[in-house]
Amino acid sequence: MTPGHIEFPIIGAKWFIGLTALSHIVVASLAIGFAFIVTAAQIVGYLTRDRSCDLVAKQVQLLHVCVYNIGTIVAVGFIFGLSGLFPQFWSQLFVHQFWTLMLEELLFFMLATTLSLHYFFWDRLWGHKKMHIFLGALLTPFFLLQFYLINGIGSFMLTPGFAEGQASLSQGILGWDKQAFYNPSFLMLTLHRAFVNFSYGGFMVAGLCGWQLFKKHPENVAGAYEKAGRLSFTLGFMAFLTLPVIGYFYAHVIKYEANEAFVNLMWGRGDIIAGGIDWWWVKHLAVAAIFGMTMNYFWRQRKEPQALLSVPGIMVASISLFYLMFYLAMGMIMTYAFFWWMVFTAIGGALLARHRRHYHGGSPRALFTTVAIFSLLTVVLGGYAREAARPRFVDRISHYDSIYVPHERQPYLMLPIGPDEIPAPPAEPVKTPEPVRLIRQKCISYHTLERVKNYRAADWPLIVRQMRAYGLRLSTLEETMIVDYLESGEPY
Amino acid sequence: MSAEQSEQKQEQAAVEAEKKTPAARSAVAHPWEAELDSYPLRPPEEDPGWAVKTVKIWLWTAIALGVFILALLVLGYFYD
Repeated sequence: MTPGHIEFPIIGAKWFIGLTALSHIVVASLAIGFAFIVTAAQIVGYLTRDRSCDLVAKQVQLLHVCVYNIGTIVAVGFIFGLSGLFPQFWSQLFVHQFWTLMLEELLFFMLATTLSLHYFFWDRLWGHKKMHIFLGALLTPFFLLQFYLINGIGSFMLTPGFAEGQASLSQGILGWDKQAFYNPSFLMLTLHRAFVNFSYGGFMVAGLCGWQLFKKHPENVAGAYEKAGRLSFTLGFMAFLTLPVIGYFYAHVIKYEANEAFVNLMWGRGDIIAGGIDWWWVKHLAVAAIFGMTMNYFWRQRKEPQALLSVPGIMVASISLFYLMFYLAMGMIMTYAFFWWMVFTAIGGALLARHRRHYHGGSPRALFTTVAIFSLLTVVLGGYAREAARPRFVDRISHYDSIYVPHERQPYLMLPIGPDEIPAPPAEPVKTPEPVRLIRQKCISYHTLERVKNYRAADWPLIVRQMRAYGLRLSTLEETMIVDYLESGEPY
Repeated sequence: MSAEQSEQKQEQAAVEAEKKTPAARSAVAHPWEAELDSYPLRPPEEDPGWAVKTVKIWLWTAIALGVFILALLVLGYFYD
């Protein structure tokens, strides 16, 4: 780190940024998922004229208002932290992506206003229900647009792109930079995060409904929570199913465009290992557990007379087979131990779901809350893995002191320049001796130095005293220094 | 106080205590219970006019801002 940086007490600057960033991601992702689920529940409620979905949607939207506020405030702390703790990195990135970030800010304003109006006018617009649903539905595209913009910056830090994108790292392009924004991993990051957020939101709403089902409610209220829980659980699961497919193409891009990050993820190198634990594996264990639990749910569900929310058994089996192939492919790249760990964890998840369902008399409440907790875990660990796999951007930016970091050098990240080619700083000028400086400064206040040099008299003490008598301001020490130097005959 | 009065008072206290148990309280007082039976659509003119106007103004503003941002992104792609 560059000398002179502020160090955050106890946890350090790096972990302060990590904690605020992860806290922000946990709630911001939830906000995006909530917006999607609320709209879906409102539409289902309107089409079926069923109040239960609408009431749960309203309750979730209230939570969304709270979550949105917390997420925004944590983001401000994150930005403050970056500005103070990593000023060089942040100012460069902020200047580089200035207009993108200004649009991001505009979207924050649009989202906050839309969300507030949607929740607080809920009961005032029963005569304009379609308009009210449309107002809420705007939140999802606005959120997508917002993290479309932020993903341009996030993916740039992983894969800075071609040509101009590379140059922008060293030249500090001001404002919009298309090549840097639409960098190689931009599309895959955006798709992956979008569906993760929908899945996370769906599972979390189901978890909240499951939590309510633990309480003693009147029968119709419990029924409302169960119905809304099943709806959001199914929507969350549908989004969850897209993730291996998107994840495959995402990994493909990273393999060729950010090979070091790919190696770190797949074979447990670098910051992915913390405290002796490979957190990428732990994240996948949580995913496999979710998969096992959801498969058990839908396998049981196929027998129940709920046509809208059930899935045919053959589809459940096909999805299981697809996931098995996915883990097999992952095992071929990583290690077969990974494959077996995932298979056994998924089976364990399915058995746990079966047990909990029986234990709670057929109610999905325990399953919903457990999947929600695991879903939260995957978002936290996924965020950590994404950031930890990337070689530290702050060490790679183009400030003079760390232009070359050998162990992190990648051709597309660095300037094509070696340490020997960096021009040496100019040599410092030789310091002028103090008597010379005094002679030059004091004498030329009254006459040229030529006059001093032409003077051949040997009695310098007398002459200097005469000059003081004429008004030259000189201390006794300075007088002695000047006289001694002139008597020595050295040049000045 | 007579024994009869004392007994009545005890019974009344028992009834009050019963009401205060969480089970009884939640079973009686859940605000959704009465609302779940209806989906209260109403004629549009019954909505407060100021609320409808506010939301309409904001909807058009938000749509215009959204189109503006999308236009910038599209133009930024072609004319960087």
